[in-house]
Amino acid sequence: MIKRLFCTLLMLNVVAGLCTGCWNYREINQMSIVAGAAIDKISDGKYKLSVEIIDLKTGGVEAKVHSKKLECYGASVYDAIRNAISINANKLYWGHAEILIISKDVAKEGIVEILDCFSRDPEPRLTIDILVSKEETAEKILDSQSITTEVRTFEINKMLDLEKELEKSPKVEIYEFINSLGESGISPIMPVIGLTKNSGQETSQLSGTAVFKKDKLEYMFDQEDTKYYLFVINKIKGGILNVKGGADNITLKIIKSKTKLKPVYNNGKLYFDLNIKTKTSLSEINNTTKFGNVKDVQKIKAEAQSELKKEVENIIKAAQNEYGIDIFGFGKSVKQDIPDLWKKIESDWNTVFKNVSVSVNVDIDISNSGLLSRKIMMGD
Amino acid sequence: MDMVIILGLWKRDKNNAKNKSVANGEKSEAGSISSTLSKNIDLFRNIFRDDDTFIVRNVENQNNKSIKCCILFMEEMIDTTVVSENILRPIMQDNNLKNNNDILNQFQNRVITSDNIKKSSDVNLLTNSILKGDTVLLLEDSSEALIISSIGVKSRAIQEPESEKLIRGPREGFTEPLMINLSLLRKRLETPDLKFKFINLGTKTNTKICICYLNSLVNRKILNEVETRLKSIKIDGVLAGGYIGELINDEPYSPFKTVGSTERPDVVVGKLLEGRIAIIVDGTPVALTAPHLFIEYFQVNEDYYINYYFSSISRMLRILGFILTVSVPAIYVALMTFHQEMIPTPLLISISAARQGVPFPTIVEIMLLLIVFEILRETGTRMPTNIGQALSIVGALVLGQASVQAKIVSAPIVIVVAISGITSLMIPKIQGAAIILRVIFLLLAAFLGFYGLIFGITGALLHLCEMRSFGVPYLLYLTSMNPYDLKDTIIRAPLWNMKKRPKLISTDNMVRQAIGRKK
Repeated sequence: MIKRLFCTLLMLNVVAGLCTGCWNYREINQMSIVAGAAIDKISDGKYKLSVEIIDLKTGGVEAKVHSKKLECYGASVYDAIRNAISINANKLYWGHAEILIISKDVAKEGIVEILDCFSRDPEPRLTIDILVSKEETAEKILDSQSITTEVRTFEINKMLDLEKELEKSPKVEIYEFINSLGESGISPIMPVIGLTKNSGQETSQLSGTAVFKKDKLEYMFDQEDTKYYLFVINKIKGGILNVKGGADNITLKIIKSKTKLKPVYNNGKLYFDLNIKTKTSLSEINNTTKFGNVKDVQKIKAEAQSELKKEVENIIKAAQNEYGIDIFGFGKSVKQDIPDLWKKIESDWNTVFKNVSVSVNVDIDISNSGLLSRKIMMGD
Repeated sequence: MDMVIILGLWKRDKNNAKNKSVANGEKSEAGSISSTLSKNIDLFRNIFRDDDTFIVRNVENQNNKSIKCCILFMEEMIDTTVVSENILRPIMQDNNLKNNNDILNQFQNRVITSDNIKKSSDVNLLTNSILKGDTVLLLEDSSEALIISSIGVKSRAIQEPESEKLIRGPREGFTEPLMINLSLLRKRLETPDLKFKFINLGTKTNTKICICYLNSLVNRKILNEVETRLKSIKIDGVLAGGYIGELINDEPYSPFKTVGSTERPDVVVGKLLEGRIAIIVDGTPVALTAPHLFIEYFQVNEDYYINYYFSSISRMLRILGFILTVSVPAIYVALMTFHQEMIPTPLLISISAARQGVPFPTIVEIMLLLIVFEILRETGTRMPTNIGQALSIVGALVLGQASVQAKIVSAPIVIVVAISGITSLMIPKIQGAAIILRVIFLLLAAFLGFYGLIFGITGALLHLCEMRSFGVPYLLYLTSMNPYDLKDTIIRAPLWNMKKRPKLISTDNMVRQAIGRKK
């Protein structure tokens, strides 16, 4: 019995030794935990990596979490990461990195080597959020003041996570970017981050969307447009809709929204049906708005629908006319729904996209009016 | 060359052992007593020479001086009132004693007022009876002697066992004398179906051991196996039930026991009613039960005395406790030194901060504290209870708080060891196995991370699956996919739902209760 047990355990241990993938014994206090990084290029073409690490020098029971910036240079991104050892003494640990900010100059030159480095190495996760900086260097974002936590990049990560309440900026993780980079019929996008003033100090702010052609940055558009862009690609989970009709000023809270994109090929002509179905609740009205019976609600609905339709049509027009880059995945939907047609038009998609017509249908449902059933009454 | 010497030594050792056993072997005093009183007295005086507690008392009847007799007993073993009131006084004061051939029968039937009298001429039996506390009456011109029961050994009162506490349920526990323990069982099982079979073990101690079972429920094969194993024991002394438990164990090298033990008669009756066999050793307040399955570690008698929802929850907690106690230190080490990706970021940061300035690697740290905990536990078991406060102060303040403040260990390690330690105390019976498994898992995790831990768990499971207790699979029911089999495992099903006895243990008589009230 004992012999058999011993043999089994021995065999299992030998097998265990062979089965291990990436592993190593390392103590957590002997590595620098990376929270996020910003990538710039300096004049001689070298990469400049600004890494935000968690500062644990204080340690002990009453340790507060601080962050520190580490600047390192290298011919490639990975070279720069390794060069950090020469000034830091601890190996950088990328397992918990959350944010990667790329400066717009680097993005214009192409980011495929950065993506390659971060997806090839086993340590960083493929779920790192990737952003483009609007400022002249990405490093500036790391230098800005953080408000809720001491770690700048963790705060940016939280802001991205909470975008589902606001929906004015997309959230793109590295693997999503790589996926849409490889797909035909859709162009990859990325959120944009910039600086703004808050109580006199510079702090960072999510500000719109960056559009890429292949791996190169083409153009950016702002937060408001991003919201309608997210409507088109069916990524709206919350946020608000402002409706201005005459003297009315109405704010609707989006409860849920669903967008269906359907390519239609009829009589040799391709067009798209875009059906947006949104459920909202009333969150704010001004005193001039009439709000008392079903008719008034219908009126508000109609106003909101026409406004949303107008904005969505605008953003589609802009993408078609100004840059001709299919950021909505229209081509992808053709590829999926009418594959025969896609084979014919794939090579010529950019010109087809510019001229294709899109019919937008918006259906907004106002399901409730919050805690108040009418507007606040004012006497004398 | 060296090999030969070693072999030679080993051989010599073996020969020595053989010689010793011959030297130590008792010269058998086989034979019968003679009919001469003085010769017989000399015989026993010779057997018990150099033993000052051996008493020979000559007795005469006041009316019939021709009757010469003598009683022999061990001073420390007898009840003096029984000897003086029930043996000496009737013999001395009886008026109608006739000195004829029938005198031994007269003594046995009419004179001596003791509940248990036997005739015998076997010297061995007489010697053993004297040793047990019986009084032997020798008579002139008689080749037989009377063995009169007069045992008077004091014992502890029946108390609640310290090691198995409960809140609701009977509080009686076993005590040392075998007969009192058997009476506790008989009291609970008033049926002729309950059988007590005696067997004497230990060449020196000659300890009485009782095999208890319910005749209609017991599996004959298991009973025979138990008897064979008991009879094959050739040890000089059986001081406690643990001796027997270890000597008849199925898996002598395993940390897990295949013979259960309990101090509670109600538990034993519960096991008997499931067709199990109990072995009670004289002089031990512990009954052994067989077969013993893995799940029995987690079953407590109170489970059956209280609401089944609550007892199911407690049982799940006990199983969880076992899993935690063996794996928490290993999981911690694997997470902290191999798989930092799996920890939530804020936790990683706070543990990393707590570890700043700690000089030892995680595995050394955790081993140190585990050893300290085991030392505290062992000290707590052995030390006199009235100095317990000193231990808790040293343990909690000095070793816990101060060592963290002095940065010898980090605070999370203290928490991990505390969880592991407390949960190990939840199931005291499995503690020995838990300590070994914990250390094995810990070392595997320290060398190979989660891979090592998972292979350790696999190895432990393979071992458990392979084990048998008296032919019954050790993991019986736990590996079953049939929901009916799981009624008394992780959950404790309502009593009205458990209509059958465990299979394989009580094979002949499976039905525990007839269909009663419809639920």
